[in-house]
Amino acid sequence: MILVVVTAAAADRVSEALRAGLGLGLRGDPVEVLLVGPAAELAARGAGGDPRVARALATLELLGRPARAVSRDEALAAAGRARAVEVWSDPAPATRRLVLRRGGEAIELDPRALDSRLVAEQILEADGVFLL
Amino acid sequence: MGKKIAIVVSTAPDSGDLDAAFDLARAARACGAEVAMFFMSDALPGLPARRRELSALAEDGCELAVCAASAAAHGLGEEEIGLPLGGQDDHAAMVSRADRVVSFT
Repeated sequence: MILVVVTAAAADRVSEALRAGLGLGLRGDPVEVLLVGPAAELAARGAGGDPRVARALATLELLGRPARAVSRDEALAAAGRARAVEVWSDPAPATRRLVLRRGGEAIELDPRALDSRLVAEQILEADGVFLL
Repeated sequence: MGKKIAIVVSTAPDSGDLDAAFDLARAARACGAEVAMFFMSDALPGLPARRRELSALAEDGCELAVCAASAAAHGLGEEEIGLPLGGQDDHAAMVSRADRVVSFT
């Protein structure tokens, strides 16, 4: 499963994340879109909110894969099960955390504090990875 | 054949994510991985100034694609970016084929 987690507050970023969520399904892969915090609040405004967000949400629903509002913990748990994860934030985090899954365990590291070659090797050796 | 890494970048140039994404792409190539990169949304304004690095990545075998809708939204064309414009289908294809996805979004 490909997971799109939207934590952004700005309508521009939320609508772009939803567009990504729609686009990622074009090759037939199962895609799940989860809305957290301010993104969920924005989405809850429905037709009275941003029209781009409302349109994208309606299209996801029409395609049978509606976006769901969840807690941050639920989103993190889903990220641990996903084959690929995109976390859409706003603004980009000042400190990035790379979460590596290996043998049923999750390891976090700061990718900017390490040599890029080492980071690449860790990613390639992991069972799964996502960036926060 | 090495593993495939897809790198997605959608954040603004001042985030530092573009630097990190380029570093990761070069390092992954050095490890023998296949690398595909997709740029969209707020990442687009940062690309014209990085044409030389984009060209070097392409010459090193990285597959690069840019969202045409995002480019249009930022008033950019292929000439400014130096890459052919693509779309969400490229995004979907890169992520679908990848063994690992690192998303600077």
